Amino acid sequence: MKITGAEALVKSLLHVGVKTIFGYPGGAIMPTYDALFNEPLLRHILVRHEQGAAIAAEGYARLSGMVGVCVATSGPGATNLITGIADAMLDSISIVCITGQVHSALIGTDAFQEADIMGMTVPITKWNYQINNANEIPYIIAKAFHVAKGGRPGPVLIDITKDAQQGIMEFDILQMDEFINAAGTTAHIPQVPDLKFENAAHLINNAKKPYIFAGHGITIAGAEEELVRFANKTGIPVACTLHGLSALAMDHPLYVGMLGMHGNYGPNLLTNEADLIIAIGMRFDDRVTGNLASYAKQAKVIHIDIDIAELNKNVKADVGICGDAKHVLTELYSHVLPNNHDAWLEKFKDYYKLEHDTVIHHQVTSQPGHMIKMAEVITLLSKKTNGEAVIVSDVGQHQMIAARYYQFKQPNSHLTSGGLGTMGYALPAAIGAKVAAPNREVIAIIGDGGFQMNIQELAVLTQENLTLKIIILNNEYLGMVRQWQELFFDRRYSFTNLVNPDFIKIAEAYSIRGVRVQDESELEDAIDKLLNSTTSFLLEVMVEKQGKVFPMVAAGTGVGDIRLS
Amino acid sequence: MENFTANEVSMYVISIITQNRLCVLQRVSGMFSRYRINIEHINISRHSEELSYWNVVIYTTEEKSDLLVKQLNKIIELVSIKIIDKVPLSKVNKQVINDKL
Repeated sequence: MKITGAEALVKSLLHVGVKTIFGYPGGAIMPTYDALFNEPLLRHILVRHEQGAAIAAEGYARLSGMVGVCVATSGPGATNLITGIADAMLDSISIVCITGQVHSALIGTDAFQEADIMGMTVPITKWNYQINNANEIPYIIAKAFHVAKGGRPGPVLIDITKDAQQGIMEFDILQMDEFINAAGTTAHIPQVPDLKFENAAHLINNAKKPYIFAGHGITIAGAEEELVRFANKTGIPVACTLHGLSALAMDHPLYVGMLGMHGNYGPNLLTNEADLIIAIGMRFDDRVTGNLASYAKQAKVIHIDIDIAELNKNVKADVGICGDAKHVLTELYSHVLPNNHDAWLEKFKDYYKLEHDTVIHHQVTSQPGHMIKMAEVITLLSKKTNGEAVIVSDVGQHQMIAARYYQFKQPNSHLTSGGLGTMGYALPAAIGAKVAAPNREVIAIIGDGGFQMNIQELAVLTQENLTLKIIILNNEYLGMVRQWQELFFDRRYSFTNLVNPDFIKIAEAYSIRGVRVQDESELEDAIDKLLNSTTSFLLEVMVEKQGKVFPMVAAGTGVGDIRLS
Repeated sequence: MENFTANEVSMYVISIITQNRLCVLQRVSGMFSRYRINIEHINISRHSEELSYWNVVIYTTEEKSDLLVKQLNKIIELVSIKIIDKVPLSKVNKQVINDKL
């Protein structure tokens, strides 16, 4: 069948299983948009800024377990994707970005809307490729999806010149199958030698204070059940990283809290008391470890990660296992002996009590005459949704509060920008998440700063008729930076106060219902309204302006120096 | 080869085979600059229609070279990579000085 490259692109996307794409048209991608016109099998969601497309594709990828796809034109369209691509790279999210490129005869001439997007995205993609011949399209698309999804997931960018989109080629559906199969068979599936399991099991069976760190890799591998089975059998306490949250239900008796800079008190402190750390699908990010010089020096470490480059990168592993979390946990399960570590678990509980009495209790309890605190909102939301919603948070204080106070009970329910820390993430990511999982309650929790970074995507909710719930925790500050200024910069609040627009009016302008809450007494009713709404709803809560997130492992200090105030 | 401490700077000779494609030089060399490792010597030649052979000389520590090789290994177009020689820098310089004298 003779078709254009653009038509072949659409057919190829459908053939690798794509159902939804996020994009924004423009000159160099117009042939592809023409092929998308009236294509009933491929849902295209028109964003309002290409950054929104890339981040929505991330949200979609995380909730669907499939590869997220975004499309943009050349030049500014492509460069606008960059923040989203870098975000996907750091958080290991599989997305494929398709960009138009100027006609191949014009490349290198500083043509209108020409940008060397290949050169620009080299350090922030797993793989990128420029197609300038229509015949290459099916094979490259098959490979792109395989690369994005295989091993440690990540972003792939495919740049397609205008003439490649317009060129006539022979599309052979059987050949496309071959390409997909060929890409699949070259997959590098790490084989773990039996000795590794035996060594790991030996350490686990003999440990007195073993401690599991569960990271994003659990969710990516879909290994939540295996984690529960493994933890139940061995009786080892489990802490989650920011991206690991919801990998283990928070009401599980072995769940002890979150690791990291604003994680829980005990989980951080006891990192330096454990005799064995079993790190699964996490990478010992600096926000988790604090100062490495005083990090878990007493502990043996079993590090399980699909990316061999992560082993021994920040923390030396006594047993490094390069493999898929699901597979490794299944194997390891049969090697370990049933055990319990109640006395060790008790220590976590003691520290939790201390943290509860000094921090949590004050954060979640309303004080008459005071403004609402962020943690009160999240705690109430958590109760009202029974911990079953998908929480998409932006970046800053509200992100840490959402992570700390929402009681996740369902797997794969916490989306945030952890690695890159991209403000403006929550709204487009929540859109992508809602499109991927229309039957789940998706709630975006956003600060007043981050909301204004991708505020234009509100238009997508109306145009696509999506039911997204948005909570703005408005403290009229860039709160996290303000907190640091207060603690470490002598209270010199340099450019962190925000004079905001009326968010309710903005919502109204986009035909979205909104309610603003100033007083504690109105909060519960407003959250009910938000949750019961059958259309998108924006709830703005005016919160304490000078609130601070604690506990905190201050930058440069160790996890043992975690402070409660 | 002798025993090295992780922080001692050595001269590493790295042999790489990659696909012969656009942008691969940038992807590979970008990894060196990302880890702030200067390339002292580089030689790339097309070996066949499909493959390029590389020889790269760098001065770095064992810790950094390990990480670098592991990261380079993740490049899709990279076919194989091996450190084929390492010599402590003190020795490299001595050799050069001796030759000169």
